[in-house]
Amino acid sequence: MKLITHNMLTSKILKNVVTGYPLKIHAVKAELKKADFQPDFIARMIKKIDYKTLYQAAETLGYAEGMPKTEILNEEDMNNEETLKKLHEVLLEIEVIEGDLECPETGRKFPINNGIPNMLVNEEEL
Amino acid sequence: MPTINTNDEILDLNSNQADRQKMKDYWVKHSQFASIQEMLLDSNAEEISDNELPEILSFLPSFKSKRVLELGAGIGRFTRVLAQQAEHVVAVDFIEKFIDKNRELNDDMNNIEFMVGDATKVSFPHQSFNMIFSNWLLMYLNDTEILELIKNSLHFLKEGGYFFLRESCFHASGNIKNAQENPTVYRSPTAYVDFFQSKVIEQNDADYGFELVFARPNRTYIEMKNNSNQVCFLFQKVKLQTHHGFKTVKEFFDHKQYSLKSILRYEKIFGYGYVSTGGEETTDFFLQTLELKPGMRVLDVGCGIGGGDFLMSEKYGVEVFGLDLSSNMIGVCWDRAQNYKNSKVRFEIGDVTKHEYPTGYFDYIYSRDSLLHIPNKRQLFNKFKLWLKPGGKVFFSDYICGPKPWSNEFHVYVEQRGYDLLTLDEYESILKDTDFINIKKEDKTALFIDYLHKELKNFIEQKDEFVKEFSIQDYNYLVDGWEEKLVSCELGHQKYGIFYAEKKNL
Repeated sequence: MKLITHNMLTSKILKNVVTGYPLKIHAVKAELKKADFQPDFIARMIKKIDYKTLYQAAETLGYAEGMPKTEILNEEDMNNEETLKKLHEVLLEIEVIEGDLECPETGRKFPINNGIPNMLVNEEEL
Repeated sequence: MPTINTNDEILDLNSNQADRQKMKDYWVKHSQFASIQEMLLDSNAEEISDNELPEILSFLPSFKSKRVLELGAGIGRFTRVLAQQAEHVVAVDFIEKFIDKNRELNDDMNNIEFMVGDATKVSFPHQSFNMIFSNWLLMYLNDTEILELIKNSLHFLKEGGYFFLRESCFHASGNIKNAQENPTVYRSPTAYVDFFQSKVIEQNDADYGFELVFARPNRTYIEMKNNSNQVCFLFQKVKLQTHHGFKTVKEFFDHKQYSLKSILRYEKIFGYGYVSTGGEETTDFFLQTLELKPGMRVLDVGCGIGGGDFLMSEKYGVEVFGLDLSSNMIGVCWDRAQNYKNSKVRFEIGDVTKHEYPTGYFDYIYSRDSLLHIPNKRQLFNKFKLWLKPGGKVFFSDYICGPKPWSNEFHVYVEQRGYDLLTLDEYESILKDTDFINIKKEDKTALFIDYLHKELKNFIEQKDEFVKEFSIQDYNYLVDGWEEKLVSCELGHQKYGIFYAEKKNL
């Protein structure tokens, strides 16, 4: 699971959960896999993501150093090549291989196996 | 028409749970090898897949650099090709083994994210995708789940975004025996159209819903298995606005001139299976002049309720594609096609000005009294030329007009119905301009008037019966309409023409 995916997952489907966002990450194993850097793609992507959540996720995994420490990115950050490179790493290169995602309200855990989050829920939980 | 329960409160959790467990058991059993044979439940799977993959891609709107959500991604038959063009693909399936295999096959693509999840229960931020793609997914869901999925999808998609789906309709198509525990619901395609058009959501103070772009059978299954029950649908998320009291143009069309009831009403006057002048008699007469031969492939543009297509296929052994914009009309065709098991007739809902077929696909393009609905004839004939084989032929009849000035009544009649009428000579010159040859045109107004009289006479004779089934208002509407047409013909405003033309040989 890459952090770009984490950025859009919620546990809102669970009974009594109001926002279910962001999910807490517990990583047992994470890897850094090099991917081609496409500045345009990152610049477009960064506008669509929740930056605060991305920052916290990166921090949890120990990769926040070098990221602008802010709630919302400003224009200048979005045009800074170094920043975009860092964001590329955080969004697309870090991969949580084993671990789980935790619902912030109920504590329900969704396992991550072999890099794939399992968001299946039982009917009783809805 | 299938009835749809849009009331979420009656959601029966127990039966939902039982359905879901049954489906999961089924797929766990059929996921032992995570192979393509299992995904297609057909032993010729690879050959079919090679052929249909490009076809399905050709049906999709452009998704280059767009964000795509693939629901029911399976082992990734489509995931890879989606990711080759998309900016980012989220691939979801509820069978872990399938998603593992999908990842194994596509791990080199770094714009795919894999997730184990239930399509009806995954949750994403609003307006985060440009397209949702699903292949054989909704047929495994019950009605309540489908409506839930449609509602969620309206939230996940951006305005103008698309939902593509492909489903097995009517009955099973694979050749692997699985009848006993198969949890699939083989619906009529009309059911899917109705599901999608029944949901409206509110977002940023506006109403949004899905509008049907097309519903068409997969040609690969037609060609390889003579099976036209594999239906592809494309819906677009649109802001709903008021068109004459209806939220979309299509709804206006389907409810007003061609609502199901009024289709059946027209049928009373034109005869069973027909909604155009002269019914079976003129159709039979015109068909005799066309030199149709067994094995030819014909496109019927504006096929209505399909009577002419069944006749053509049964009498001349041709394969017919019937296309109409009205989902009510095609709904009738789909239902009735089940009674013509041996005829090779396929029906599709679509707008001919936006629809696509492969180049050189048809021997004949046929149309009856439908082109009057299409404003840009030049563009239309250019499309016909592209779709025809070299030497391919066009035949159509249509309402045409006399020279202006017209009477006020005729102006109003034309405007209310949104017709685009040409004179006999104008039609001919557009056919010439678009490079057709051997053009023949004929003014058939006398024949048209004959039939108007005949139809009106027959209709008046069955007044009591008709009024019992419909109403006196419907009766008067039709009689007035026919009399109006007769007056317009008398005045020389309305005419009727037939046209024949050929595409040049190479």
